[in-house]
Amino acid sequence: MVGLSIVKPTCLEEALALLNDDTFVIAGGTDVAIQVHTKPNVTKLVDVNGILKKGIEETKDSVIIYALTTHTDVMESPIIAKWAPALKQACSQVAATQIRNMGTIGGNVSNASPAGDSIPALLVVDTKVTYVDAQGEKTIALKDFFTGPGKTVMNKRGLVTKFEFAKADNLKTAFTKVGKRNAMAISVVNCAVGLYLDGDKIEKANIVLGSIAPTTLHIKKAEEYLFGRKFAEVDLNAFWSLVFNSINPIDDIRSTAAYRKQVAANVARSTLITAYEGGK
Amino acid sequence: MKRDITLKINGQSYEVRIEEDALLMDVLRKNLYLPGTKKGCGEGECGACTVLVDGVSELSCLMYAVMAEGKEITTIEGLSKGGKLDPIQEAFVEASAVQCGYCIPGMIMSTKNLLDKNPHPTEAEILDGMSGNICRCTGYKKIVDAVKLAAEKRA
Ligand SMILES: Cc1cc2nc3c(=O)[nH]c(=O)nc-3n(C[C@H](O)[C@H](O)[C@H](O)COP(=O)(O)OP(=O)(O)OC[C@H]3O[C@@H](n4cnc5c(N)ncnc54)[C@H](O)[C@@H]3O)c2cc1C
Ligand code: FES
Ligand code: FES
Repeated sequence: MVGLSIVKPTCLEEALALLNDDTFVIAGGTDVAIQVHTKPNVTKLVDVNGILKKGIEETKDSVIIYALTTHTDVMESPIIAKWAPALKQACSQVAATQIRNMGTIGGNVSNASPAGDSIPALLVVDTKVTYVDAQGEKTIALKDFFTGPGKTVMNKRGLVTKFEFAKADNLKTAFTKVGKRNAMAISVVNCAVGLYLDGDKIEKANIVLGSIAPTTLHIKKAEEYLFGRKFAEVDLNAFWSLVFNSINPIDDIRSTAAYRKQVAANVARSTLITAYEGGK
Repeated sequence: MKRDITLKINGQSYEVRIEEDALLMDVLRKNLYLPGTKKGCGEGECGACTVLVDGVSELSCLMYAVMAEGKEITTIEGLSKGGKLDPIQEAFVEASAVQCGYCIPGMIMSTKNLLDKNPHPTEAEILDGMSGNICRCTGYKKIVDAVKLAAEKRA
């Protein structure tokens, strides 16, 4: 293997100037240190630990999570427990303690794996992502960030700096991960649900599934079905069928398509119930 | 490319000349002769290479040594003080939690991370806290017993 060089830029501009197809940004390194073995073209790692921020902040109307915040930081944050319990649940189920102590939210999202556990949980609270590239700083809806497996609109030429979502008193969320075992397993299917409620009426629903398509996916038909409905009037079997018929997963090393489709619909239904009954 | 770096390990400063992309695990074992930290899978799955970085457990097989500069690294060699074992080490001995021993340094570093944060963990919290460490010998029961005993000893 060719030796990698590891550079520590001292400002964003310097870091951006280093990015090209043969460089990798490195934050916690839990994906990168493994990916470099199969990417012989990569010769340089750009360590962003000295230039990006870490931590969780609450403003009057929103919650901000900086890119270098680790899964452990998210799990232990009372702000996240209060405003996005699904995200706390998701980060608690990533790998095991050591990886959660190292791995960052910015890395999990930028890696853009369809199985990334924080992604569905960030999507159901309508998170916006901020990144910088040669054109400057941009803030977009996270749902518009992913363009394919491992691919984002940054096209390997940008740096994620932070995530932000609105604090909503009427939002209830839940997250479920199905893996082959608890620890260390990459999701076979993961699911997050967010329900904005007016009493028992659903004003808006986010139903998001991961690991069933090239990117994490909102299940639009199921969201439309819930829109404006009272929870008591939701036909859970109809909801199940809408999810089942909306997705077209693939066979891979972790699972078969048929199993995924069945499990995805089951998990979407149970997570919906958990969000309504048990979520905050 | 070689690089000269300074690492702070177990309270002591070490200057080492290493390949720029050397992993902390290899630098500890080969350059600094601190072989208590073990290499298992090399892919983040087994926990044998666990060390503390600024007080929390991390995997030295996924960390480039140059990125550990400026941080406080604690390895298994750094736990005993003045020839006396750390209470966690004592607990592993007394609970007979060690068979071949290969996984044990990592197990002990994970126990330290767990008990530093949560001095009185429930059984479920112990299982979650230790789930990043694999043991091929013991069947885990005595390891869980050792963690419980360690919590009592530290109380
Ligand atoms: C054993 C093991 C188990 C795992 N289990 C899980 C799991 O259960 N669930 C899960 O979701 N993930 C899992 N992962 C994957 C990984 O730990 C997470 O994706 C983690 O959050 C990555 O964060 P990092 O900081 O380590 O990223 P890095 O490895 O540093 O980077 C990941 C990717 O994002 C890019 N990147 C990082 N930060 C930025 C930034 N700020 N701006 C732009 N690009 C950036 C890098 O270039 C790279 O492509 C596992 C990994 C291992 C090794
Ligand atoms: S050697 Fe690091 S986790 Fe296995
Ligand atoms: S004691 Fe042998 S691997 Fe754990």
